[in-house]
Amino acid sequence: SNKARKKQYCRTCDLFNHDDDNCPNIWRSYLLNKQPQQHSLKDVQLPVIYCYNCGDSTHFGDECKEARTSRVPNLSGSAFSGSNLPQQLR
Amino acid sequence: TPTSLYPWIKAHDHSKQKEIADWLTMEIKDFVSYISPSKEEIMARNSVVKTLKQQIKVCWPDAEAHVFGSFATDLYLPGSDIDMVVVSKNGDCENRHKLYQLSSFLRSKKLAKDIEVIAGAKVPIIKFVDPKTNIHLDISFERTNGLDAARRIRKWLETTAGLRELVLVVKQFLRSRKLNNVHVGGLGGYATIILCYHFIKMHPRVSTENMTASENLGTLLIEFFELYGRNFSFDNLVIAFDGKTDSPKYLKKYKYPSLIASRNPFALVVQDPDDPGNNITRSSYNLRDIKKSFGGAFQLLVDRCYYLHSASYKKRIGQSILGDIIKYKGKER
Repeated sequence: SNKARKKQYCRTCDLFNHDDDNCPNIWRSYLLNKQPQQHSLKDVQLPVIYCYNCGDSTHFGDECKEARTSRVPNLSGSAFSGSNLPQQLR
Repeated sequence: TPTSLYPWIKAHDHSKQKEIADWLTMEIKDFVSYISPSKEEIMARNSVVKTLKQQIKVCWPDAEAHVFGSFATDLYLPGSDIDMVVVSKNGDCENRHKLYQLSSFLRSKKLAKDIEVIAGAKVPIIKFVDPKTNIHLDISFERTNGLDAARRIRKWLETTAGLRELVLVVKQFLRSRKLNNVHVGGLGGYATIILCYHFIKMHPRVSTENMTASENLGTLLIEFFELYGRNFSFDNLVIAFDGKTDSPKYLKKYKYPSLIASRNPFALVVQDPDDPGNNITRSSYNLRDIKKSFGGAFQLLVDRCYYLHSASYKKRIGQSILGDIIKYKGKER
């Protein structure tokens, strides 16, 4: 119901798709490689970018503007999003 | 020995891990070492292969037997069969007469029982069981594509930490859902390996060397199921590799009509890295159930993570995360 949906709010993500106890950040956590503090973009390995929805290499699937072909909705984002790149590449 | 539903968690409790993803990573490693063959099993398999290689040489001096498939890549699960191929100088071993010649030779030398000669198939094979170990074997003839694939997989495994673990978990998952048999539309071993490798190499944090796959197996396993169970467009895209650089890419199906055999747009198409005109997954027609099972695994795993994340320490002790998606009834070892 509409009332139940309004109760769903995640303080970590500032989203209404899920509540605090069902936040993807609970499991989507990464153990990162140790990296030097200062980073020039030159040393950074560029990402492999392909869209899982349309196949373009200009964006990841989460940011695709075309109609989604998978019938399973993607409400809270996935691994394949520009926001999942290391900080200096976003 | 007693058996349990989740034998790999015995004496490996990770319930005190702060990050649930680390718990899952550790449990994956425990599971992989649990299903990895023992020294005795490895030696028994090696000796079966060695004897057969020698004896096939006795039967046909100008032919050579090789192993391919999961035995050659070390990606086999307990009870997997061994795949061999016989390659000869004349290239004439595949004919019906020669197939029966080899099968009666193996029988007379007591090297095979339950022999089936499948001579009329597109890929003629001899199937049999090793009488000592009861391992199942398949011998095919004059086809070297399996050897090319094994070589490529071994190279991927050497250069990709974490690939072996991810493949073994996904293979065991598919086996437990009976979705790993290509004869009934399931996903074969090579296709499973390609999906795992392609996914790892495309991951935004792996491709940028921001993280190492082997240290993040927990999150990666969930994200593997997330990609292929929820987001990937099977309708639009072909899974492929660049012929020169071997880097992963997607092709748009409509640009490669020759790869598409099925009239159904909802079909998995994986381009053969050694033969660009070949679709490795043309027999995996049961994509509906494969995708559904991946989506279900995603949901079961994340629900389990949410539950254990907010559960008390007392309730977490001795629990399994993986157990919801892999029911593996086996000996405690």
